Amino acid sequence: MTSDHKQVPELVTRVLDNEIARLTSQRLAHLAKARDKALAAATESPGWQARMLHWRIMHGHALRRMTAAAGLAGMALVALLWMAALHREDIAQDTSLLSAEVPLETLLTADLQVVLDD
Amino acid sequence: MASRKELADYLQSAERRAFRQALFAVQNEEDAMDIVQDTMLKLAHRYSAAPVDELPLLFQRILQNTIRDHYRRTKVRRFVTTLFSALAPRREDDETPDLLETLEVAADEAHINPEAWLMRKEVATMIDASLALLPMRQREAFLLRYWEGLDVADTAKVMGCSEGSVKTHCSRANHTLAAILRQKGVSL
Repeated sequence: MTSDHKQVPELVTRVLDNEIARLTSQRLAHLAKARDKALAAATESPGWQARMLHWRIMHGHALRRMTAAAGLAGMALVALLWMAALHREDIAQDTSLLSAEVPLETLLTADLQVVLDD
Repeated sequence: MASRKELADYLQSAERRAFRQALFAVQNEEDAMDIVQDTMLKLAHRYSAAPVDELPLLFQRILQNTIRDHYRRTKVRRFVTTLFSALAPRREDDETPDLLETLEVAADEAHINPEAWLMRKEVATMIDASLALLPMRQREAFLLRYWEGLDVADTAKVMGCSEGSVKTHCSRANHTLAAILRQKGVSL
């Protein structure tokens, strides 16, 4: 594979620059009109929506990454607690078996019980 | 904080490229014009108090959001139109537009060499078509990074993704465009 793709951005931007330099006068007039309209609507103080979008542009990605990390950490914690609970339950069962609080037969499945009886 | 003159200068410098970007995205001149106008209005109305160096980022972000809004609206409109089109009476007087009327020639192009004009138009059309073939995110990254001249970090901020994603999109767009142009006989 050659590295000729490195010339692509230069070629494309040159063609595009050339193209926008030759926009029709009618189109340019439309753009100028739109610009004037926009400038006429310019206000001095931004509203809360503007502040929020500004904040999102500056910190949005970091926030999403943090939320994803927190979500993963939460899932890992739940899994860990679940494993610990299972382990504790096993220990409790073993202890109660050893102290004969629970008869062994209650833990056997039906087919194993048949084998033992034989 | 940007003064009115700085804002006007920025809009003037960005409007043509913005129009071309919108045109790539929506493939319709009138819709592209509406998108640019909306973007300029939103920027001027809400962010005229923003610092000058933040204007390009804000403008690009608003432009991309407006393009996405347009896509959503078009999708809904198309759905509703499809739903009710069966009920609408069929029009018999549909006129086919004259092809010559659809050709727009700029005033300064009237006197140049027709062969050179044709060649230039052909290359431009080829580049346009190649860019239109790219997936939306790749085209967005490519244009922001190379045409708007934003760095990787700023492109990532505008696109709302990581810097790694921007690099991947740009690289893929580069390779795809190179392959398409080679296939069409352009020597790089």
